[in-house]
Amino acid sequence: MSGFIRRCAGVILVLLGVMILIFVVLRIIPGNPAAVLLNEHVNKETIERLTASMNLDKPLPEQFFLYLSGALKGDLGQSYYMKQPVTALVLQAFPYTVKLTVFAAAFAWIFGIGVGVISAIHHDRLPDYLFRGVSLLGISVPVFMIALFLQYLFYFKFSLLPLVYDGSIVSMILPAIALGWNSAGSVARLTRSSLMEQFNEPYLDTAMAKGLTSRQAILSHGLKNAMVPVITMLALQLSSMLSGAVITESVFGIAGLGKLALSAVETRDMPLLQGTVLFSAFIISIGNIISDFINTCMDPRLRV
Amino acid sequence: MAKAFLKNKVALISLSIIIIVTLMAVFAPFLTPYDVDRQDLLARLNAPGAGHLLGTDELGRDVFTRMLYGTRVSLLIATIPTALAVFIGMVLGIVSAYYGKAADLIIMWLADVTLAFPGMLLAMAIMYTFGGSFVSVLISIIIMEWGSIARIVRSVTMSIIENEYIQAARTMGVKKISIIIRHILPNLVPTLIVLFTLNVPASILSESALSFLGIGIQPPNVSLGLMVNQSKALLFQMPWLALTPSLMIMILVLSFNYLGDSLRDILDPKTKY
Repeated sequence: MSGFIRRCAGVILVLLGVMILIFVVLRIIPGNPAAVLLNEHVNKETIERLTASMNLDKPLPEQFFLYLSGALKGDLGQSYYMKQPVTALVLQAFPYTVKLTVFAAAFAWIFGIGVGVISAIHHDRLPDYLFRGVSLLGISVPVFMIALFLQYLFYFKFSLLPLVYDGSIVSMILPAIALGWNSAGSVARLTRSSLMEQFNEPYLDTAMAKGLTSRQAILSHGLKNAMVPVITMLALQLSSMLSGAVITESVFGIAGLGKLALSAVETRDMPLLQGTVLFSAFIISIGNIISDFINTCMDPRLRV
Repeated sequence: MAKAFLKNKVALISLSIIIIVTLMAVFAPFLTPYDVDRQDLLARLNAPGAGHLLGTDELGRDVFTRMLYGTRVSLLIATIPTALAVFIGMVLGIVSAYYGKAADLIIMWLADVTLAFPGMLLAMAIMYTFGGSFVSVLISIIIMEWGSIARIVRSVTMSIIENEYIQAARTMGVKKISIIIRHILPNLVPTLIVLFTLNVPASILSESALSFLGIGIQPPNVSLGLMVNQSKALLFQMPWLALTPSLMIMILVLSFNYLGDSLRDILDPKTKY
């Protein structure tokens, strides 16, 4: 348990670093965002008023502490462009990204673990070569290529599925596959190698001595142990999925975090961008803690 | 080692593909009669065929020519930022492992901080600040990749330091810097080669994703991702416009992935990353 507390302290330190880094990156170029926002044609007074309302007239360290204490209270500032609190905008977008990521992860895991297990059981024979090719192809294809290809095939050619997301579950199928495709490849590769490592473990011999066929032993005992590294990868997958979500959401018109961040870049809305990026880093840190926790539950050796 | 490489068919094939594509990109001006930016408004949106191998885009520019020039950008992005990220990761990883204490804590904290972001979102913040250009794509790729490289270099260096000959050199009073250069670096080379090859695909994909979103490489410059972005409106009428640059990205990424996998098997059979 003390390890868990130490881990949480580490996460808090990392989150502090995250806040500093994003604060610095967005302000490293001098210039008044309020002036840029108002196109510099507006009179001085308006610029000054907006500058003051955004705390831009204060020295940088003070700005940082205002932003830090705001963030701790859940206040990420006011969006320049949409004139709404950033926290509200982020929380509005978040459920869409969650939905997309959950569906994509489900696809990646079912498909990836299935392919990985078949590959491992038939290792170095035809199904293995075939599936290894497929999974390497999975991690090598750009997300936008899969997305556009799926739209072309299932909307245009066969008119089976909607072109963009319209709120229905059916319209989530294509975005989920597009986003989950890369991860499915990684999951399959890791499942294969991790399961094959279990093949020489003595506990499988024990299971077989007790009367299980080798396939039963692998699937009921081996797979459970092989899943530990695969679950560790869940946290890494979460990070790459949030990256991929930016593209998937923009292709399929889903109003999630990625689309919010993209529109923040396009409209030069600094507080909105800062809030969205910070929030997604926060989600990833939580994901890391959860995956640590699941791992400890699954592998008793880690409970020290 | 070279023998093992020549025996490995996958490694050979992927390396040959990379060399062929590189040569095509380098000698692009000799391979095509067209100029990359030359618009021919009378020959807009031609289908692939004689004259224009892969057809023309909405401004009548030759798609094959633009693809060759876009590949140049992809290859530059594949090598320069990846090499810089590997170099930075190497230096910081060694310092972290060998000097320990405060240096280790600070460097690993920094690595954790950069790894806590979804790469694409951090890259978007960098694009916001520096604007979409080759240099800002380069900076964001370095920031996205150095952290995990530094971590791996750190752990490999730590296991190298355990070796008796390094302990012996230490007891003899050899300077830290010469131990690093004479004993640690040569042992790190295989790891560094594998890390470089395996990070190249990530770099290519990041650049193409940013350019596809319209915030990476900006027109009038060419990039494969940007070509897909510019032709996605015509996806259903002229799918090949989006397909050919995507395929080029895929071929490059796939070849580097296969090469990196084989190199890891040959150079570094024990480690997995």
